[in-house]
Amino acid sequence: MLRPSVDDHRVVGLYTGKIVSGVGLLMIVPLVTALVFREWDTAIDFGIGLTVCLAVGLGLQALCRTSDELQRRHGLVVVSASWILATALGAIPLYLSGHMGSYLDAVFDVMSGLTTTGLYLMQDLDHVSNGLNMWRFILTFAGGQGIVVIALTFLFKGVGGGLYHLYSGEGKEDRLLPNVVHTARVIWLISLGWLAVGTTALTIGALALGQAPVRAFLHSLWVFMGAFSTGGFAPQSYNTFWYHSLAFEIMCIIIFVAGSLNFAVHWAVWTGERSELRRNVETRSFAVTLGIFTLIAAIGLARSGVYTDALPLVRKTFYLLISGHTTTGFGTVYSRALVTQWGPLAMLAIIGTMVIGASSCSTAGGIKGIRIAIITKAFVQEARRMLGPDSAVVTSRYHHLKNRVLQDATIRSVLLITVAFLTLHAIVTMAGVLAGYPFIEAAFDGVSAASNTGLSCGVVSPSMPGALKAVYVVAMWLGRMEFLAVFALFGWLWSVVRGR
Amino acid sequence: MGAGSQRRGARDALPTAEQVLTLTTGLVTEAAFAVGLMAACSIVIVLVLLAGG
Repeated sequence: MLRPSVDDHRVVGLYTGKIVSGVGLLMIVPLVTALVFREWDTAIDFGIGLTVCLAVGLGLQALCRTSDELQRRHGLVVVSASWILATALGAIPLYLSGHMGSYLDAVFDVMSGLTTTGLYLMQDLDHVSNGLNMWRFILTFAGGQGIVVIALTFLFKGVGGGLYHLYSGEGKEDRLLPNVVHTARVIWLISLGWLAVGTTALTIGALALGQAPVRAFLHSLWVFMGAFSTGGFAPQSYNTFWYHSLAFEIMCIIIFVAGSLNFAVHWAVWTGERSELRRNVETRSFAVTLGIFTLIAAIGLARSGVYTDALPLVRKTFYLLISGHTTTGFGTVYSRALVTQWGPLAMLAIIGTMVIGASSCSTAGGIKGIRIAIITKAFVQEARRMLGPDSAVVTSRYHHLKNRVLQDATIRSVLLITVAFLTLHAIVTMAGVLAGYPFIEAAFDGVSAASNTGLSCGVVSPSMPGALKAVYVVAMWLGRMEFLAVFALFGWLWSVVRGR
Repeated sequence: MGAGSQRRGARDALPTAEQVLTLTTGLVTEAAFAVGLMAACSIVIVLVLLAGG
C-alpha cells in the first residue's frame, strides 16, 4: 500500500474537522433547551462540550488547510475518524452530568445514540434534565440520517467525487438524486416531513393521556426521534411501556416502520411512484421475514402460555418483533421478562429479526433486507442452473428502484458483508459468554448491539464488565459503518506505518 | 432585485397544491404499509393461538 502523503493527511484532517464542527454545532440545541428550562448545570456542561468540540473541529481545519480535493481514498477514512471523534467529544456533556458511572459509559451511550442502537448505561434516566435528554435524542436523530449527511446538507458545497465516498461510507449507497449534496438534503426533507407529522400525532396522543402540554410536546418529539431514527432511546426507563397506550404504540409502529424504509423508496413514493413500496424487493423481503419470525415467536409464546388472551399476545408479540426487525429497540415488556417469560424460542425469533434488520439506505441496522433477498435469489438461481440443461443461461431479476439483473459481482459483495455481520454476531456473543452470561442472553444483547437494535434482556447494565462495554461500543460502530469505513481507517493507519 | 421579483421568487419556492397532495398521499401510503403489516401479522398470531401453539 502507498504511504499517505502530508497532503493526504491534511485533506482527511480538514474534512474531519468540518464534520466534528457540525456535530459541535448540534450541541446548541440542548444548550438552548437547558437555558429555556433554567437547567444551569446542564447548560454549563454543554457550554464546555460545545467549546471543546469547536476547538477540535476548527483547530483541525486551521491545521490542515489545503486546496487539495477530497478523493475516494480519503472519504471512508474521514467518515470513520469523524465518528470516533464525534463519539469521544459528544460524550463530554453526558460524563459531566453525573448520570454516567464512567467516561466509558458516556462513550457507550453516545455511540449507541449515534448508531441508532438505543442501549444505554445512563443511571437514573427518569430524572434526567430536559437539556441532557434533548442531546440524547438529537444524537440518535442525527445519527439516523448520518452525521456526514448533516455535514453534506449544511456545510459542504459541490457535486461529487470524494463527497460520494463520504456519503456511502456511512452505509448508504443509493443516490436519490444525481448530486450527492442534493441527495443529503432530500434525506433531511423526508425526515423533517415525518418529524412534523409524527410529533403532532404523538403530541395529540400524549395530551389525551393527560400529560401537561409542554411535557406532552417534549415526550412526543423525543419518542418520534427515537422511533423514526430506529434508535430506541425513550425519555423514561420503562421505554414506551411507560405510556400504557395502544394508540401510542400503533403510532410508534407506523413511525419506526417508516424510519426503516429506504430513503430512495420514500422519495419514489413521495414523488408519485407509490407502487415502489409494493414492488421493491427490500420491502417484500421485510414482509416475508417478518411473517416467518412472527409465526415462530407466536408459537413460542403460545406454548409458554404467558399471554392467554389474543389482544395482549398480538400487542406484545408484534410490537417487539417489528421493533426488532426495524432495529428500533422500543419495548413494551420488562427486559428480564424476555428470559423469564418469553423463553428461548421467542427470543430466537427476535434475534433472527435483529440479525436481518430492515432496509439499506435507511436509519436501520442489521444485514438488511436487500442482502437477504439477493442471497435467496442467488440460491434459487444456482438451483435452477444445476437442474436445467447444460446449455441453459440462467438469470435472475429483481426490482429495487428499477428492474435489475442479478450480477455475480453483486452477489459477491453482498456475501462479503453478510459474512462480516455473522462473524461480528458470533464474536459479540462469544464475548458475552466469556464475561459469564448464559448463551441465549449473550447472543440476544450482543446481536442487539451489533445490529444497532437496542432491545436488551438484561445483560447491558452499568454493572456489566468494562471490557464487554468496549466490545459492544466497537460492535455498534462496525455494524453502523457496515465495516468498510472502519477497515479503510485501519488500512490507512497500516499504510502510515508500513506503506511504501 | 425589486420587491415584485422577490415576491414572485418566494411564491415560486412554495410547493404547489399538486405537490402537497402527492407528498401527503405518499406519507399516507407509507403509514398504510405499516398498518397492513400489523394486520397481516395479527392474523398469523391469532391463527397460532387458535391452533393451540
